[in-house]
Amino acid sequence: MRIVNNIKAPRTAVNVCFIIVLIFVGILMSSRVQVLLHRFTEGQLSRQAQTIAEKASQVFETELKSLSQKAGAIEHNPEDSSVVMHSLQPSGAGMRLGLVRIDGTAVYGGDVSVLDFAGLQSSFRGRGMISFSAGKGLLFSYPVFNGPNIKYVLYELCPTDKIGENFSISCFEGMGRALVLSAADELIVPFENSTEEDRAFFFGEELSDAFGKLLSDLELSSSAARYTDTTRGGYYVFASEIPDTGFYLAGFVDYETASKGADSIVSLVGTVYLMISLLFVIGSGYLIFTSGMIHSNDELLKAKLVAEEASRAKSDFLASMSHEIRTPINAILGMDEMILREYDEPALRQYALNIRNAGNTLLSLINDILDFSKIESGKMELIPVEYEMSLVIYDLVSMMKPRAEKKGLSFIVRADENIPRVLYGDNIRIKQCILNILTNAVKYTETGSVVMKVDQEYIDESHIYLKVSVKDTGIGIKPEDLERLFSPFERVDETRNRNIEGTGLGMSIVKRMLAMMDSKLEVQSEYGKGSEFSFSIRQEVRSKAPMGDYEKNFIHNMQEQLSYHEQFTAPEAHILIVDDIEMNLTVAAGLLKNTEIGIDTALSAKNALELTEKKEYDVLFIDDRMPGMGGVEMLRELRSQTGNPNTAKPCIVLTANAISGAKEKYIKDGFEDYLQAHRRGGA
Amino acid sequence: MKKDTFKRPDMKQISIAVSVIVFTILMVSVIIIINFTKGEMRSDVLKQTTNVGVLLLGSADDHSWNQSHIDSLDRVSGELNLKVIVRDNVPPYGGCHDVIRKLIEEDDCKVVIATSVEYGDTISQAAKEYPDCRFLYTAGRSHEPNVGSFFGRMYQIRYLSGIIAGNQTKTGHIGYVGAYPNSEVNRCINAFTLGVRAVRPDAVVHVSFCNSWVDDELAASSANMLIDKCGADVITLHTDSVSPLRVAEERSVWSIGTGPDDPQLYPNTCLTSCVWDWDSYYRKAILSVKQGKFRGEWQWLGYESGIMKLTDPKLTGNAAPGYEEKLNAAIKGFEEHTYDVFYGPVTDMDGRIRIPEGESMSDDEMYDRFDWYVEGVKIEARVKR
Repeated sequence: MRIVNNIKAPRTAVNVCFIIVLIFVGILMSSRVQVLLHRFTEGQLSRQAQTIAEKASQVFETELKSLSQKAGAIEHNPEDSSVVMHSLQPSGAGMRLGLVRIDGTAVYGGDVSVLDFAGLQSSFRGRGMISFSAGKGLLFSYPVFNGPNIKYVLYELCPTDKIGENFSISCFEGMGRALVLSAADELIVPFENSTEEDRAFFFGEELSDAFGKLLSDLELSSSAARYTDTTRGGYYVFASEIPDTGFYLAGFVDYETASKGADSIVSLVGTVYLMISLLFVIGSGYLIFTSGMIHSNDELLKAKLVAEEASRAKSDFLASMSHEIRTPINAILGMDEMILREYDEPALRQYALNIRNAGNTLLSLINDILDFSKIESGKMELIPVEYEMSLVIYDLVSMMKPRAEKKGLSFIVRADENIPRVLYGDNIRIKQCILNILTNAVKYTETGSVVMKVDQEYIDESHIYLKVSVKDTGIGIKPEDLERLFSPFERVDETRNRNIEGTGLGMSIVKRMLAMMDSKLEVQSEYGKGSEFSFSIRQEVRSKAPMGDYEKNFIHNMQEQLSYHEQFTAPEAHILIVDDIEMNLTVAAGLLKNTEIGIDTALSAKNALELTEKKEYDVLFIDDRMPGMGGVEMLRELRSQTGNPNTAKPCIVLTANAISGAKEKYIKDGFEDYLQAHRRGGA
Repeated sequence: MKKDTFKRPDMKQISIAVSVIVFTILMVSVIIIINFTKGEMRSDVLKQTTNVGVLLLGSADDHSWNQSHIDSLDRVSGELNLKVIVRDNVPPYGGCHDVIRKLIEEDDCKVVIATSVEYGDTISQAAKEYPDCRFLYTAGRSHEPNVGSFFGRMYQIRYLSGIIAGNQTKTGHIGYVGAYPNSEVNRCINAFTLGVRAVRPDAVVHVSFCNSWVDDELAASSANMLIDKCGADVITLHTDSVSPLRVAEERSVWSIGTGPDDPQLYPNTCLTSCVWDWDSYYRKAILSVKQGKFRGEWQWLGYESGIMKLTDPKLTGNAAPGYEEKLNAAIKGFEEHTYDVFYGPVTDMDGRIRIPEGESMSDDEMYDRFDWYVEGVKIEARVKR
C-alpha cells in the first residue's frame, strides 16, 4: 500500500493544483461576469439616464411653451398687458409670473435682473430661455414682441425652495434618485422625496470618486453610468446632459433596482460553473480512485505471483520431502523384501509382512499429502494400468476390516463376483478414493456397520461402470454441512467430532480425484442415522472372466508371492547401477541376485564413468540425485564420450521424484526410461 | 511483472496528457475571460489624429478673415492633435463640391470647415452625402445633425471701434468700405455708426460698397474716394481686402482694421482692429466632434465668448484719449448681458424710430433682415473701376 500511496501522492497534488486553479478561474470568472454585468447595466442605465434627461427637458419645454402662449396673449393685447397678466395663472405652485422691461424693471410682478439670469438677454434677442440663479431660483423667460422688436420679457420664476415641488424627477419607480445640476454644478432640481441622508450620501465622499469618473465619461458621450461599491451597498451613479439647457441630470440607484434581476445571470453562471467544477472534482476523484484500483490490481497480481511462487516452493518442498522420506522407506521395504525372500521362518515372515504393510501405509500417507498438493497445482496425473479389482478389494478389506472390528463395527463387503477380472484404469487412485471413504465411515460411526458394495454396470463389450458405495450407520451430515464436506482441511460438525483425528483432506481429495476420472461423489445422508457415499467410474475391460470371490483370489495371489521366484535368469547380461547410497545398491544387487545378471555398482558418477570405460554393459541404472555429478550430468558426459563402449547403451534413471512431468523431463534429457525409486520385487 | 512495467508509464502518459489538456483549457479560459472586456476600454480621443479640411474663399494669408481661421486652427491643432488641410481660393456655391468630396474621400477629413456663407447650400448637400463627416460653416443660419453654423456678434466689436473712431474724428466724417450691402455688413455699419455717434452724435459714416470681398483695387479706390470726396479722416472696412488700410497708411488717415496684425502693419495710422479669435470656438467644436458629442446647431456667440475682440488701442498709441470710459462701460454691458448695441431707442437714417425706447431688436431681424441703416449712415455712390 505504501507504493500505491507514493504514486497517488503526486496525482493528488496535481488534482489539488487543478482545484486551486479551478477556484481561481471561478473567482476570476465571477468577477468578470460581475464586471460585464456592470458594464451592461451601465450601458442600459446610461440610456435610461438619457431618457430621464429628455423627460426633464420636456418638462422644461412644456413650461416654456405655456409661457410662449401667455406671451402671445400679451402680444395680442399690447395695451392691456397688466390686465392680461392679472388673468394669467402661474403654472406651478409657488411660481411667480412677471413681465419685465429691458432694464429688468417690472411691468408686472417683481423685478428680475439680467445679472442673475443671463437668459433674460437671450429672451430680449427673441428666444425662450431657462436660466438658473443660485438662491433666486429657476427662471423661464419668453420674449413679448412688439412688431419685429422685443418689448418685454415674460417670465415665470420658480423660487429655489419650490423647484423640487414642481420639477423633481421621478426615476426607477421612485427607487432611484435624480437631480438637475447646472454646468457650474449648482443644484437646480433636488431629489424627489429625498431624505437628508440621501443628499449627504450623494454629495458625500463615497460617490465622489465614481462621479469624477462619470464626469470624464460625459466628456465622451452625452450620458454615462458607473457602478460603485459603498457602505450602503452597490450603487450605480448616472448622469446625462439635458438637451438645450446646459444643465445636466445626475442621480443614483441601487444595484438591485438597476440590474432588475440581471444579477440572476451571475448566480446562474456561478451555479453552472460550480456544477461543472463539481463534475470535474468528482471525475478526478474517480480517476484517482480507479488508478488506485489499478494499482491494487497490480499489487494483487504481484501477490498472486508471490503466492504462486510460494505454492511452487511448497510443491518443490513436498516433492523433495517425499524423496527424502521415501528413500529410507524404500530401504526399509527393500530390506524387508529380502527377509521375506531369504527366510522361511513363519514368525519372521509375519513380522516382515507387517513391516511391509506399515511401510506401505506410511508411503500412502505421504502420497496422500503429495496427491493433494499435486491436485492443487494441477499436476496430478492418472496412471492407468491393468489391474485386478479383487486385489483392490482385498487390500481395502485387509486395511479397514481390522480397524472397523476394533471399534466394534461390523464391516460387510458385498462385491459382485461377475466383475471382470482384469480392468484397465488407475487402480491406485480408485483404491485411494474408496479407502478414504471407508476411513471416514469407520471414523464417524460409533455403532452398527459399514457396508462396502462393489458393483458393475454394463456399458459395452469392453467397458463397464464400476459402482462403489459405502454405507454406514454413523452420525450423518446435516444438509447445510454437505458443501463444507469437500472443503480441504475443514471438518464437519467440529464440536461433536473433536475427538476424531484426521487431516480433513480426505473427502476433498476424493472429490477432486473422482472429478479427474469423470466421476462424481454422491452423498445421501440423514443426520443421526447414517450416510451413503457412492460413485461410479467408467473402466475398460481387459479380461472378461469374472473375478470371483476376492478373498480366494487374493489367497491364490498370496501363495504365488509367498514363494517368490525370479521371472527370468540372464547370466550373460551385465548391468551397472549407480547410486550414492550404498544401501540402495545392496538392495538392488540383492533383489537381482537370483537372476544371475552380472551386476556392477558404483557409488558416484565419476566412479561409474571409470567403470563404463573398461566394461560393456547392457543397461545402466543411474540415480539422478547424487552429490557432485548428478545423473543427468553423468548421462551427458557418457553420451559425449567417444570410444566408450557404453556411449549408446540404454540408461534408465532411478528417482524418487514423483512429480508429474518429471518423466518427460528425464526422457528429454536422454534417458531411455524412468523408474520411480520405489523398487519392489517384480518391478 | 512484465505486464506491470509497461502498463504503468501508460497510465502516467494518460494522466500527463489529461493534465496538459485540462490545464490548457483552464489557461485558455482565463485568457479569454481576461481579454473579454478589454475591447471596451475607453480610449483617449486626443491620441487619434483628426484630419480637418478648410475651404477658403480667398487666400490663407489675407491678414484678415481667412487668416483668422487658419491662425486659430493652427493654434488648436497641436492640443487637439489635428491635421489641418487648407484649400484656398475655392470657388463659391456649387464649385466647392468637388473640393469637399476630395477632402473627405481622399484626405480622410472628419471635419470640413467652410469659412463663407456662400458655401452653405453645397455644405448642406454634402452633409447628406457624407453623414459621418461633420461640417462647420460660418455666418450661416441652417443647421443639421452633422452641420453646425457659427458666427460671432462682431457688431459688438464694431460698436466698440466706433467709440474710438467717434472720439478720434476731427472732421466728423468717417469712411466705411463695405463688400456687399447684406445683413452682416449692414449690421456692422449700423453698430459702428451707433458707437461713433455715442461719442460724436453729429458724426456721419460714409459707406462705400465694392460688391466684392476680395477686390483690392476697388477697395482702395473706395477708400480714396471716401477720403477725397467725403472728407473722412478715419477709415474702416468690411471686406477681406485690406487695401483701404494701406491707402490710409499712405495718406496718413486714421484707420480701424480687421486683421490681427494691422496695428503692426500700419503702425502710424491704425487706431485699433476688430479681430476674430476662433480658438475657443474651434477648440470646443472640434473636441466635441472627436468626443462624438457633436450636435449641429446655430451659434451666434457674443462678446463674452471671446471669439472676437478689439485690439488694444494703446498698441499703436494712435487713438486719442477720451474713449476709455464709454468703451469700458459698453464692454461691461456686453459681458454682463445688461446691454447690447441694438437696444432702443434706435432711429433709422430716415428719422424713423426703428427700435423704440425699452425695446430690443431680435436676433432674427439682426441676422437675416438688417436692410436698413441707422441715423448717421450715408451710403455713397459705388466707385467704378
